[in-house]
Amino acid sequence: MEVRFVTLQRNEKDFLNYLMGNFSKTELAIPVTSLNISTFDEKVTFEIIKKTEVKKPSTLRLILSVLRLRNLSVVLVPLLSVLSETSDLFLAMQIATAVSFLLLAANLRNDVQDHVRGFDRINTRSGSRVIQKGWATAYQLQTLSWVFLFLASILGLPILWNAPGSLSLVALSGLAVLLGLSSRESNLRFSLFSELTTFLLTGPLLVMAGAYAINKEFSLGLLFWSLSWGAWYTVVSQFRTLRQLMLMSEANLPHWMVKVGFDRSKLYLAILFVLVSILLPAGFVSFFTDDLYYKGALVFLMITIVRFGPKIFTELLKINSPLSSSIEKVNQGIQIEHSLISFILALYFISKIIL
Amino acid sequence: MDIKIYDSKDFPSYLPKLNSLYDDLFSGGKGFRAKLIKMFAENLELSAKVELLLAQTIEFIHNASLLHDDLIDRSHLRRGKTTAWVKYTPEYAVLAGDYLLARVMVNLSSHGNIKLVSYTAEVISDLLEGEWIQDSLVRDFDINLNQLDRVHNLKTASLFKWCIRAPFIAKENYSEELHKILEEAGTLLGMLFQRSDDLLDFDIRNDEGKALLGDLKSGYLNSFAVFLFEGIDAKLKAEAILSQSLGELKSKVGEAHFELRAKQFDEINAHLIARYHHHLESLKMILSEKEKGILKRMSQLPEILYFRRKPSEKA
Repeated sequence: MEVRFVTLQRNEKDFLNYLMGNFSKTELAIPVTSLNISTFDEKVTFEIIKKTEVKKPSTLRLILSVLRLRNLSVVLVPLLSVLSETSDLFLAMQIATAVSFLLLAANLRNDVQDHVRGFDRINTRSGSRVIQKGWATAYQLQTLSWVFLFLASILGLPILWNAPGSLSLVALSGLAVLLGLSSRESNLRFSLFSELTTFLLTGPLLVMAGAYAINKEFSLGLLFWSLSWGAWYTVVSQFRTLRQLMLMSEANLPHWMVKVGFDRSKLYLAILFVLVSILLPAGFVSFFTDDLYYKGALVFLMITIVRFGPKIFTELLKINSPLSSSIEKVNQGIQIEHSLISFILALYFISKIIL
Repeated sequence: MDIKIYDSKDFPSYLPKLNSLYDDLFSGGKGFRAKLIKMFAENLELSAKVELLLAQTIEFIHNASLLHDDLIDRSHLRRGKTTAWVKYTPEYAVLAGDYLLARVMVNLSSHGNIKLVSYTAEVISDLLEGEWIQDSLVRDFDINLNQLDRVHNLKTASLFKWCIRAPFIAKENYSEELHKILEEAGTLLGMLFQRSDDLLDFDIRNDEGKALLGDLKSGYLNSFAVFLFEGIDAKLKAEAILSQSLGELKSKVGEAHFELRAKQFDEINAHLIARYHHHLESLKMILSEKEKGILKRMSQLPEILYFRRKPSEKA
């Protein structure tokens, strides 16, 4: 099988067509990865492959890979916690769906921007990797992103119309999600404020905005819960970042882990992990009413934290290299723990809404 | 080797055992990197003085890393001879390596091309980072090929990148476009060389009779080992890693599986070779007519480095 490559400069007229995947009806242009940080910007080498040669997975696997539905937990759990305080099932579903669509749109846009900037050619762990595998083009992902944004607007606008007082809060949150996490020019993901952005958007801003949109009420308990969830997710996301520390250091990205170095990053992350493991159940207890389901959810939450937490903590401290396979294992462990916690909490909140 | 890399007159005679150590070190070895320099020097019309400077620089850096490597790995043999740290002392081996790196800086700064000095310093830094990271991965048997490639890009490819970029820098050709292509081409050459070296450990194209399973016995999975064990049952992998001979390893993973993976490994590296040739095509667009003469010889390098045969021979 003959291998064909094409190298194009960014300022060449066909460059964007190749990059976005719509330069040909029968062929795909996959940018080749590079181990050299300095070469990723101006010129891109593409491997040209026939679309018929790409082995695509099943439709379900493709959808799951493209959308990365597991990431929805970051907004669904706090949102469901707020929605569990309303008896309006339709409103609850409407808000949850709108915000989910917004997050999907932002994630897809992120993947496209990483691809356009060339970041995914250097960081082979970024995004869903569906473009690199030839399963979808950047153009298709971009189109899908706009579709989800449109759907989010269709669902979200009536809600905002009925609760004008929260318009600025909710709109600000949504806009910040799109701009901060998926901006081409100033990608906050790797700025010193990236953690603060993640914390605010997944915790206090989302929960408080949602609570105000539904019943115009705030409470200290709700605030504490939102802070605990935001903190939990922010720390969980840092485990993924630890995998990329060497790359970020080579690229001199302004991330706190690059500033403090490998050894201290591990230590600080371990300490933060212990703190949020205590904070999360405390936040849950502070807000939610004492009913049977709540006790059940709390028990399962504690079991999950105790079952996974200590092992993650010790394995994290034992990691002895930024390229160690242990980082991946620890990351998988924390993702499993996070998924289980999200499932338990989501199940509890949904049962509160329904029953 | 045509270029005389080591001359005792260049080193102080009052330091006991130093010249004897260097005599042992430089009398073995194929001097391949110096030959690469010679190849570029001819086509770029570098003066004999500059050619010697570049050849010495790269061989000094390479051999300094060998002195340190052998001590880190506690190897007793290098090129069929007793390693320096065993024959002399570990202290002398470390200092001898450091001294070679110091001489590199002295020689380059005397030459006066500050960009060459700066780039060489970066490469030495990359080499040491690669060594450090590699050492941190000993006994990590779940590492993947992508992670290893990052290590090899620092440890091995950095010197190949230097070999093909330094002659242009010495000629004061600092074109960014040229050097980015050379950097990518150098990375591919380095990866191919390293992967070929890793195959020798499994007696694949091992005409030089290198000792087998040396990396595995040192607690290190090389690139072919990682590829070979991919997808294998964890228990079987753990047993295979403890193999004391190649025959034992093959019987554990299965002879057919071993041969299949070797073939597939060659296929993925053929892909890298195709990418390398594509970069040579890009170079054709930006080199001068005279400089283009280097491309034919560069096109033969994958054959030499990966398949370990002269370009005129075919399998």
